[in-house]
Amino acid sequence: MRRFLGRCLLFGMVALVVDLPFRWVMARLPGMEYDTRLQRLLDDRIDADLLVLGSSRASRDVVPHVIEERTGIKGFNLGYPGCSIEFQEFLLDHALALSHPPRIVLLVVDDPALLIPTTADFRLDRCFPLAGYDDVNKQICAHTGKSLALTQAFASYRIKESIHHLWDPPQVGIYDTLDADGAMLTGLRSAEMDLAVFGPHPRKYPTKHESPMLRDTLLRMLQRCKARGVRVVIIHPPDFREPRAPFIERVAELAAGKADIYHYNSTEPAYRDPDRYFDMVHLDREGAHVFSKELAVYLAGR
Amino acid sequence: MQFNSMDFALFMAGVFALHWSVTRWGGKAQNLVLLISSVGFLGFADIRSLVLLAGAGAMNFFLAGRIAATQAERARTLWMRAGVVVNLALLGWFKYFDFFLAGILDLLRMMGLGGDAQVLGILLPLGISFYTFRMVGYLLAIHQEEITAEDDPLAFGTYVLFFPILLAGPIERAQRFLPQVKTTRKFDPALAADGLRQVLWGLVAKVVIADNASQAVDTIFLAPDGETASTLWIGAFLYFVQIYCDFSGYSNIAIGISKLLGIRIMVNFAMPFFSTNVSDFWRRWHISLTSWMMDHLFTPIHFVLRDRGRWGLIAAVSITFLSVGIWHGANWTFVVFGGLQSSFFLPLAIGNDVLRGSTLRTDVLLPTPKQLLLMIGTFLLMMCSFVLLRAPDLTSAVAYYHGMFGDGLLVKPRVFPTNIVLATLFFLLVEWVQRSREHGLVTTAWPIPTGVRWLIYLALLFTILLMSFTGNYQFIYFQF
Repeated sequence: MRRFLGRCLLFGMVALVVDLPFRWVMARLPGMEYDTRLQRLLDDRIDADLLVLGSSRASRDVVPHVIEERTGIKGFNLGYPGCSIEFQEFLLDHALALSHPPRIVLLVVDDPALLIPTTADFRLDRCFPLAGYDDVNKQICAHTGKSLALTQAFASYRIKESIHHLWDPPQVGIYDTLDADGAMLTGLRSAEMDLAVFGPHPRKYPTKHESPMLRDTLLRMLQRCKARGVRVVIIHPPDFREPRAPFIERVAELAAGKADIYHYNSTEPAYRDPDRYFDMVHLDREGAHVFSKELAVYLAGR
Repeated sequence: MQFNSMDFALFMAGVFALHWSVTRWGGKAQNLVLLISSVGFLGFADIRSLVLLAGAGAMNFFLAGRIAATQAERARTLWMRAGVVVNLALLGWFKYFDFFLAGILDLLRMMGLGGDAQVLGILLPLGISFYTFRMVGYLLAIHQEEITAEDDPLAFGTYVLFFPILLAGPIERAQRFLPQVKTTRKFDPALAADGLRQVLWGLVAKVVIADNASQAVDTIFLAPDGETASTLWIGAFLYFVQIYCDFSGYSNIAIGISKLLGIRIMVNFAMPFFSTNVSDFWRRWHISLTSWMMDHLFTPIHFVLRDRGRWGLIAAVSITFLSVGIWHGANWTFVVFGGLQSSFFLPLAIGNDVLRGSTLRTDVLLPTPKQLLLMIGTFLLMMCSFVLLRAPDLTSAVAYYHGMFGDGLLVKPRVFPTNIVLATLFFLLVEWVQRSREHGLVTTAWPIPTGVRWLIYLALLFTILLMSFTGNYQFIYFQF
């Protein structure tokens, strides 16, 4: 029995030694990424008074340097296309822990993905290359069912989702261009934009389809910011469709006493010009500049 | 707790340590450790299943005692039949009642009756299919005086709830298991080492191949309409590989874990992909089930109908394979699956080719051209029939088959996971080379140094670590 156990122990130790090179790979993987915003956040290398959070409607519609030019408030965009409010909470928690945390958070909301489960998700693809960071690794394990203990023992297991980047480096999509302030603006037009099908939003907002988890996440974020004295402005960005009043009312109800709310100026002619849009719900570069100037005026006045 | 989880690894480490540390107090102490561990294992998974199986176990313990204690043959038979009926009734209630009720309700609705009546939504207790067959087999073995009724509740409880085989088999016979737990088990390092190797091989099959193949399988089977024939053939191939690697992987892990505890469990798969005919396939696939069906269903029925000649044989084969199909679950696809296997088997049975063993020699590297053709033919035939186990209903299965033999057979498949196909081919190559051995990693007979052996194990370990599917895929046969 002793010899058997001894050999098992020796095998385990040899396995850990063989795993060591993967720790070197783990350290290299973040540097191979095009979008380094999350790494900068984790490394405390973001220095901004204003932070933009949200999904693609944040990343494409809000240009921090335009706001800075008009208000002097330095900003950074941490919007990630397709991300859920859960992921935004993860980003916010780290932003509040920065040595220079933001004073203002612009939370750009999505109708209906803010509170109703859709395809928006935690953006684990952004997390996998940063699995070397403990906080990121914990999130990966929580969302995928990986064993936390095994990830701590074996770097190879920890980085398995992104190790292929060594020989297949991540490519930047044509819609994923990144500006220095974190905005992901585009001058392109989505092939899917079909003006013939746009129209008013359905009048009803199905509260019964809301996820309690997503709702609680939003409330936690607002509460946390309030406790830290961080001003939150919930932004309803331009939309080529008619805005859905019940959704706006629902957000206002949840945010009451915890956040300001800003709705885009629906009388602005630019927002009725299809040429200012990438697709029906996202502005193009010029449209984003128009909206950001509008936001700057609002922020300067408050 | 799934076998391929860290929670289970820690649990197993604890059970291993405790089991061997109480050796000085004898087999009963060891059995107590196993019984408590098994209760914890099942209770953690589903407390209701634990209560049910423990209760059924107590009932079977009593019935076995009555069969053994009764002298009169007629009374013995009555007790045996009562036990079989109760066990099968339990299985029938939990597994099949809603299915039959749904069928009756559909019929009534067609006649304008039935109204809003719904099925009961009965939850299936974990492991009940495997457990029931073990208990029925035990009662029959006592009745046929193959074994004596176990009078030690501890040993019997260990057999009933033995956690490695509880949820998905193998359907171990009491005749093999009970004698092992009636004595004090001494630690056998060679057996334990082989057990670890078998667990490793099982994990490769399950975690590397089955789980990763499942992604492509789910994609293809989700919406087969509109897929090219080539894609559907890939889907059928990957599902066949997935179910084999999943189930054989689980069985290897279960058998390997049992070896770590000094208990030998029967082989459940014997490289079935190298079968040269359908009969050969069913002697290599889910051996514990098919041998159980052979001993307790086919043989008695054939004996009763022996005077009917060929028709008696046909009836026995048909009933047996229909039962194999229905055992898998309450769906018409499983019934048709069983019928299909019966139709494949009957020509061999009628032609007296059933008992002809595989002609594959284990001392040569390559098969003959004829053997290769037979293997490929058997593989393709069984692969196509296994689509029925994956399709959600008969309509979908028919649509799938229609697509498989439709347009686009020679176009590039839309889904083709190259890594998984390559891993599968490598896996099958190893199994081919090792086809005379119990599992793919029986390396003790290889004339290579220990260091090289360890390199192989390390390579497999890191393959598991790097290629394990990030997601949560349960063993397929848990649903049966």
